[in-house]
Amino acid sequence: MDDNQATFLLVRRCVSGDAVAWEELVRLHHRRVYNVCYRFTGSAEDADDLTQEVFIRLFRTLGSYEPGKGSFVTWLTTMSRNLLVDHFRRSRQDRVTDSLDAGLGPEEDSATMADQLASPVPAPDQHIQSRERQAMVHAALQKLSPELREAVILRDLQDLDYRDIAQVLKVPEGTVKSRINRGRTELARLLSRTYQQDASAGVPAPGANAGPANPGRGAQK
Amino acid sequence: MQHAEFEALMTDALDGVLAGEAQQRFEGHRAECPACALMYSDAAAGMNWLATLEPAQPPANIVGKIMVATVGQVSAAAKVQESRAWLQKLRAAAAPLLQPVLQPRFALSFAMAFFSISTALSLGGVKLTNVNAASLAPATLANNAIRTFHETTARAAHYYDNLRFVYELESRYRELKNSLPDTNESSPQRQPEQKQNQNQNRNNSSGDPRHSPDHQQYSRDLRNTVVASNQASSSRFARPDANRAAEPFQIAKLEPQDSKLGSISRSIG
Repeated sequence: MDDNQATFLLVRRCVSGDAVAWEELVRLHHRRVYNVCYRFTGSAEDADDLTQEVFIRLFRTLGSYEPGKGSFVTWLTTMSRNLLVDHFRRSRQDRVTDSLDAGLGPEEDSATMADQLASPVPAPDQHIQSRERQAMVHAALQKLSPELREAVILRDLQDLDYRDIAQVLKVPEGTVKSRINRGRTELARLLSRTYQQDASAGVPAPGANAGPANPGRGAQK
Repeated sequence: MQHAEFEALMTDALDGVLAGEAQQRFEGHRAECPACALMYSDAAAGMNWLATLEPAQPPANIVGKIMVATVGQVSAAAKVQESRAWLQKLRAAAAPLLQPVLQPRFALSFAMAFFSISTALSLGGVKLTNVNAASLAPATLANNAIRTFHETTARAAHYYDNLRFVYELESRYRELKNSLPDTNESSPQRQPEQKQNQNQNRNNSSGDPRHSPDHQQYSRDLRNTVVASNQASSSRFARPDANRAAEPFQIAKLEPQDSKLGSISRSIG
């Protein structure tokens, strides 16, 4: 609550025209906004542009922030998410062609994923360089549907709680949890497919949670 | 427990907040339903994968861009950082060029170079306070140099002309002075004349009555001669040569600066 009050004081200074306070606010929050944009769009360039857009919009609408309605972070995240959705709708046409190019079936998907690995590796945890692994997870995240993607980003990358996420996405908490579950599961399956591809290419079998992916999914349906 | 209920509890289970009877039922369903068990393990794996993602670093200049786009100005801190970076870049680029030159032993050379340039500029008539593009044109510079040369030459010529005139005067005066003691000794009429001069000196309040004409000041001597020439009819200066000698002094006293008059007086002399 102290944190919220400090932020509110800062916001009030900004609204009164204090440029120093505004810069402090930007410095405090630009990483968070940039990360949401980067993980959602998958592109550093887009994230750069969108982060600026978010803060320009924030600068204009800062006066309408009311601390009673929720934390500043939630408010800012909502604004970022709305802008991301707008951006996504604008560039949907591009994205459709993109996804067609990226691959129609699991085989092509896997090949794309495999291409992103510098070297075939036996197990996810020990032998992959952290950087490569991160690039892979980041790429897999882009293959999730936007609804699932934003849910897992807000939960697992931004550490928001379910109530805040529900407020940002404007859906019930139950739906949020369901989306988070599906997002996590799909991500794991996308990544496990990569390892299966690697396994069939002569690499030792992957770990337990990635291995029996396909038969399990069959049983589920 | 149904699949839907299991799924609803899954996030809490993965967060580690599930407890008591709910947790037992959850674990029970997970043990007997392979589909849910698989979903759970996949979700856990996905969560672990996401946990490996470190926060991305935004571009360094993004705060500056935002400030420009919103407040319309780069913040002071960012500006200092940028200008410092710019200076450092410049210094780094110039270092290999300036390294052999910027040494203490060359300090005197630089000072001399500066001195020479400033001297040349002042000789060329260039004043750094009112330099504009037109005054830097080669024609203007040449004109300035020529004018300055002629002015300096004229000044030197004037100086030497005046000097010559002064020397001429001095030699005349010496001649005159040398001629004076002879008349003094030869004629006794000199005495009342001398007294009159002394009276005049007192009236002029010079306060320094010097009897010997050798010690008299130049100006006083001049006055004396003028007085003498006025009284030419009664005094020893009635001699034609002395009278003639006094004339140039009168002229000289009135207009000593004019070199032309000097030459006239020379011609008279």
